[in-house]
Amino acid sequence: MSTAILTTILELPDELLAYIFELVVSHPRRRGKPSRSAALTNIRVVCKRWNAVALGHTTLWSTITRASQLSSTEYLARSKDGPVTIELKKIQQSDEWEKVLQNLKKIDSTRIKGLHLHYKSGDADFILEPFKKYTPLQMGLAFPARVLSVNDILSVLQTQPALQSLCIFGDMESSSTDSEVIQKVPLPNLSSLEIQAGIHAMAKILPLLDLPLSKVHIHPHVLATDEQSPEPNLLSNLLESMKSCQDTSWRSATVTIFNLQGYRVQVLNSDGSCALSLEFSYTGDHNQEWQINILNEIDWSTISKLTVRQRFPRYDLPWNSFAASSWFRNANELTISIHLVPSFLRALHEASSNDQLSGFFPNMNRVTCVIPKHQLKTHIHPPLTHDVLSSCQEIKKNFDLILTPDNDELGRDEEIDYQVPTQIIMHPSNPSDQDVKIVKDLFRWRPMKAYGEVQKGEWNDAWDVYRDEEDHDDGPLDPRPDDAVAEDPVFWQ
Amino acid sequence: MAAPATQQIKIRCNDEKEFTVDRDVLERSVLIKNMLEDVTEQQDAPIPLPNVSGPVMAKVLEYCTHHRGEPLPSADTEQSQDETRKRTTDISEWDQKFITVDQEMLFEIILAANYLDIKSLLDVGCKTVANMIKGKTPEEIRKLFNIVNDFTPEEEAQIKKENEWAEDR
Repeated sequence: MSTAILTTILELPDELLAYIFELVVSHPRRRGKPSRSAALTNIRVVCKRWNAVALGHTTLWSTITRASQLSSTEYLARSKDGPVTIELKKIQQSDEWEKVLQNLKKIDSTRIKGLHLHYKSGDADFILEPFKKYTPLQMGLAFPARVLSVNDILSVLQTQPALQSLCIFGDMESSSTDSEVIQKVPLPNLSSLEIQAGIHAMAKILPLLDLPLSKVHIHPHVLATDEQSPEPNLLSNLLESMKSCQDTSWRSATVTIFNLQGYRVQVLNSDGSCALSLEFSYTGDHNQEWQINILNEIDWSTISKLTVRQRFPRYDLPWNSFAASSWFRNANELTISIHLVPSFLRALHEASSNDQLSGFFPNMNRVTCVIPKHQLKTHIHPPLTHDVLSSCQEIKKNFDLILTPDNDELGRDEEIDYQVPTQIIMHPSNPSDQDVKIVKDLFRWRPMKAYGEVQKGEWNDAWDVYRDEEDHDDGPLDPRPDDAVAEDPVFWQ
Repeated sequence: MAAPATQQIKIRCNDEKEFTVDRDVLERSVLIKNMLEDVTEQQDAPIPLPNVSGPVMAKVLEYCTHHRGEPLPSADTEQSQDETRKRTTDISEWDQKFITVDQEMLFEIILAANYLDIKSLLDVGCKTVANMIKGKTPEEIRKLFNIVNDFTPEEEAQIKKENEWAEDR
């Protein structure tokens, strides 16, 4: 490892080094990771050249995430006359908000490219003041529940024809729309729209926006505020409202309905096929009936890719009802949370025995087991036990079982952004000796027996990183002695 | 109509290593694409690439071959994609495997992608380096890349102190 390296990072020109620095600091903040400014400091401290490159690269200083940075002329000077994005979240007090507004005045208004201000109290006029005053290209608006009406939001958007990206968070008052006919608000440059609002407000606001059909990407997170069971046509109503606004050009939507989170429907425009993602969370058995009612609204015949997630193993999903419904008859790819795999495989096994297999994934050729990222960080093990793999073998269906970290968890990407490139593909037949050894090594400290083919061998490295993050200086995670681990039976032996 | 897609182009690297490659593969490189567009008549002489060695070009061509046929970012989409590019350092599975190389090759690939103007490959390389840096202390970064700390303790302390101020609410 100590051999001379001919081409090193030192050979990279300043502009590439600066781009790498941008990538390092621009990731979403995650727990236990340095903030943007701390990450920037770590880079600057490495050597004089890196410090000079960082200080000279204006875009590294163009994102303001602290009120103290906004009040510092020295900090603002580093972005020179370039565009700035201001992201001040969770402003709690009115005096803090006033101070932010005062400091905003110090910046040439034409420089404000992004304005994301999340103020947690106050009335509509107070909250909307800066959004009407400046014309950023990207806007993030968060407000306390039920303070703003749909009309308030539209009044801001009418002043923002150049807007490229818009996020709205907070529950809007849906009943306060005027009876007068409101003209559609044109947002010709919008490419990203994120709305996290009540479902009724959402259904009202979307048709009132005149959006560029070909390029906008809508990702609404709809929160139903009603604590009762949702109305029967909830999903289809929402989809209809989106269609009336967007025709078929919307590509992705996440619907979060209080304790059932959520439906993500993706229309893949190229071939018209559909993918559907369901996330089940915090839902007790008593809710299964209306879950199934809602699922009944979906046109399953078009869905070829299905994702079923459950972040925490709270309860078993009604796989038997699913099997009886024949919903999944056309799905050929399933992505599933790792802890749902045992019950899923058992259901598959049962369907096979009960002759229901023709309605339950008859065409499946690929099952991807995703491991929620928080589980990668903790010591929860993938429950791929002897029984599971045995039933997998007995089904004798020819599909690949793939283990991979969940890179697409709903609503968690801002906090968790681990880079775990590992993917393990397991074939329920013909594991080579080498495969067996690698998988045993990977999982030796977990009570798990698995076999197969390791496609990437970086799993251990990733765990090392996590151990560093957590300051685990107390040795390996597996408390068992190596000898005990080595004696773990592997089930096919 | 399909003739340009199968046209073979010869290139010569700085170590005299020559490659004959399908035109559409080579056109992943904006530099070569522009060169080819400037030449109206078919030429037999190889295109000289004085800044790229044979082994590095072989890797670059592996990447270009895998991604042939994918849409190239237009100037129009580039700006809007810039933000997205910066927000994520995720790398696709194939690209991750491809870029699992030693540091010397990694930086050679980045330099070649920069010279040849292959934005997506440059991104893969830079994101890989960024992921190597993320979450590390300055000392760990120095060790990883063999960088000498040329700050005095006072200078280093001064920069760190500034961060305390920046973090201050």
